Amino acid sequence: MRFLINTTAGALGFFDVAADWGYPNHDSDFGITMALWGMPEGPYLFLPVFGPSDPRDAVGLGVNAAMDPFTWVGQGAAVRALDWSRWVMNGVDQRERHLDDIDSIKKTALDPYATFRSLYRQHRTSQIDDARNDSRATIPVWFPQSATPGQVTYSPTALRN
Amino acid sequence: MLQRRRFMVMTAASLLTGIQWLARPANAQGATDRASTFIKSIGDQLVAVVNGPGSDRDKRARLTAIIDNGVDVDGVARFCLGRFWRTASPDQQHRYMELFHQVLVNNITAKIGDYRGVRFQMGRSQQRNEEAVVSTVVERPSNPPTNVDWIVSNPSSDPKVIDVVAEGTSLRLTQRQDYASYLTHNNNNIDALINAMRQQVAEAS
Repeated sequence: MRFLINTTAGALGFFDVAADWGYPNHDSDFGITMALWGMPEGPYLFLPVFGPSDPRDAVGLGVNAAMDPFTWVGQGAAVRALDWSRWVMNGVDQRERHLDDIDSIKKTALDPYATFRSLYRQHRTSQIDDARNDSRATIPVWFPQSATPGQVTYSPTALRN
Repeated sequence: MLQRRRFMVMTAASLLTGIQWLARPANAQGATDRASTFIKSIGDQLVAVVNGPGSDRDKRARLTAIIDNGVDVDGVARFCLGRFWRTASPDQQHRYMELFHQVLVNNITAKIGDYRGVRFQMGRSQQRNEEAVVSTVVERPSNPPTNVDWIVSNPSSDPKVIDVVAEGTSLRLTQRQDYASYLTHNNNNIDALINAMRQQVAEAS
């Protein structure tokens, strides 16, 4: 819907008219797409620079990077250096933004590793559930929907601990 | 004779089910409304304390009172110990409960400064099994709005908050997995957990 509206009424995408009509922008990534296709998440990983993840979402990160046009633009040493810097600065910047929260979890949690794992998994599941229950591609925001916002579903693995 | 009795039993049964069917939707509606008003009042009290005058110590004391009244702290404590509750001795359970009260209050009141100027808006309220889920949107200055769901138990009789779900992460589930992991790494020794909690409380005060 957003593509359709913004290409026509929004002059080939220069103006975001769809947001005013009830189709706001939203973030997604390939990891969520794979989850919606039914791929299970697998064991918990902690990637350097990128932080908590799991095999499915790590592959999703790779595919996301491959789909990003800036990955392919230009050649030569300078461009490659800038490319790497972009990823590293992104990592440093993200960490700085969450430093306070990370510190507070390290202080209040008895097992920070388990806490980060739990928070990451719950948040990821909720993102995927939101994407699954959401018809925002076709139904505008102002139309009353029966979907439940922010539903907590305790998966069997979560309750086993 | 038998026909008439059967007829009367049938009409009585259908009348009863009819009455129950009429009553049920109204009950569910009443429960979610009560849960909504309950959360609104708790939220307003919390916001008034955080945004109001007074020292941090003052605010902590008042927030503790609101939390003790509005949250089922014992229930949350038992949930957070999970399967180890059954293996704990009554003395350990008692010590754990006391420490959990303090740990909970410390965790909540530690970041009062960050919440200065907070506002919240009420959203939808739904019934799920025997609990009500009240959705709110919490806005902190210079932070994006956060979706926070409040899970309320016994909404029609004695409403109490049993869980807070921030952007899909349940606080009591996170705490439970934290404790479970700690216990697993300490030979399921509940005394070790109690000592660690005591240390946390000592460091915080």
